[in-house]
Amino acid sequence: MRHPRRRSDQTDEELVRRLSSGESPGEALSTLYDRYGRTVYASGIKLLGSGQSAEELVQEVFLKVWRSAGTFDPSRSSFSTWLYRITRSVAADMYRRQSRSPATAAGEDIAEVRDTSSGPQEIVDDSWLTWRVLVALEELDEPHREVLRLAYFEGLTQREISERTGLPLGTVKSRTLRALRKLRAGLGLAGISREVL
Amino acid sequence: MGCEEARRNLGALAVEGLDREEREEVLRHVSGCPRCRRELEELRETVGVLRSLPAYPCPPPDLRTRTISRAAGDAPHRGFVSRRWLVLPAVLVLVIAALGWLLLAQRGSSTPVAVVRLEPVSAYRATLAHRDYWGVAKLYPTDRGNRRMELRLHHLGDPGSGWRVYQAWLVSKDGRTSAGTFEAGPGRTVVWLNIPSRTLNYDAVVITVRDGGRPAGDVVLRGRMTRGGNQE
Repeated sequence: MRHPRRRSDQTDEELVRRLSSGESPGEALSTLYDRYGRTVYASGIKLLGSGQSAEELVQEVFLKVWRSAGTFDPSRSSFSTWLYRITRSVAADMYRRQSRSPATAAGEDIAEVRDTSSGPQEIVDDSWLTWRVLVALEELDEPHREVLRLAYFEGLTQREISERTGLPLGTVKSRTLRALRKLRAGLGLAGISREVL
Repeated sequence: MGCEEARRNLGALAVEGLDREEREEVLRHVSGCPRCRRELEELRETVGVLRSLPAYPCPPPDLRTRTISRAAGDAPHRGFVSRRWLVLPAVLVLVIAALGWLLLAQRGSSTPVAVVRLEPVSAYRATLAHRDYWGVAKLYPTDRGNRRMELRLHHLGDPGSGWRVYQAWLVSKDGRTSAGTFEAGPGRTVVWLNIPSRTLNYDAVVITVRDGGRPAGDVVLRGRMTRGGNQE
């Protein structure tokens, strides 16, 4: 993580150490959820195709983070990368379970995912870019994240955003520009589209 | 449109958020301005990366509570306060209590019932005086009814011959009783020996040095018992 100290004085790595040492672990896990819960959830939506599966993924992932905290080695990877690997692993297991379930046989729940990939490994490998984008979005402060969400994901024009938020049009434009610049910096963008884990 | 105004609109242009007239005006400037064109390309590349996300959904608000509660219930620590932090103080209290009990059991009282200054016998006096020897034996009661003898001996051993085996004896007019053997060498030696409870029936303490030929060895140190006090 480039900005590991957010919304708390402690880095991600310090929080994981608290999990493994039993030093207020519930509080440490709550802070990690606040930082990464949305990222894991949004990854779950993309990987598994449904909100229900994404919720299950989130719970499994954070349980595994707590259980495996003692195995985390900050000299080998950042917490974000470690969490991504856990998310990918849990999602792949869930995908396999769902593939064998009667619901899948009926074409429900993850049909969309199955249409776009030949298997779970290919799906999760593509997810690294998604993960990086989600983490970079979470690193933006709320006003910049919100203007990007409205502009890109909801498709509103700058004038519509101004009307919805009550912000002057010039402020909306300048926030959009700064949000994109920060996102680009956060992604370390050069070459990211070809980067794989 | 000038560069400054065009640049203020580049982000909006990259996310396709401008009205048609504004868009065309900014594009006209960009087509003739390499710097603005380069920045627009970078911003569009950034927007292109966002396309890897089909959506940017928020998890349900109660998912946080469900996730933390489930993890707290299932994780090996079980609960928000690890059992380690509850057990550790209890173990420490027990250890401290046990050490205290052992210390008291071994030491009994900090006040000796007898003190014996151990002086070299004539054959060793000159040698030990040369080494700056001094020694004392203190007898303490224990709460188990017996006594313990503390020997503090400084420079008893010969620096040249290293450590040797010595034996402590309790002496009365009827004879002497072994209080135990110990090793002593150059420097400071502190030894604790368990001794019988009727210690005060004895009059003196002697220390012998053991050698292969004579099991009891030569007497090296001797001292008369002084009842009570810290007379060193």
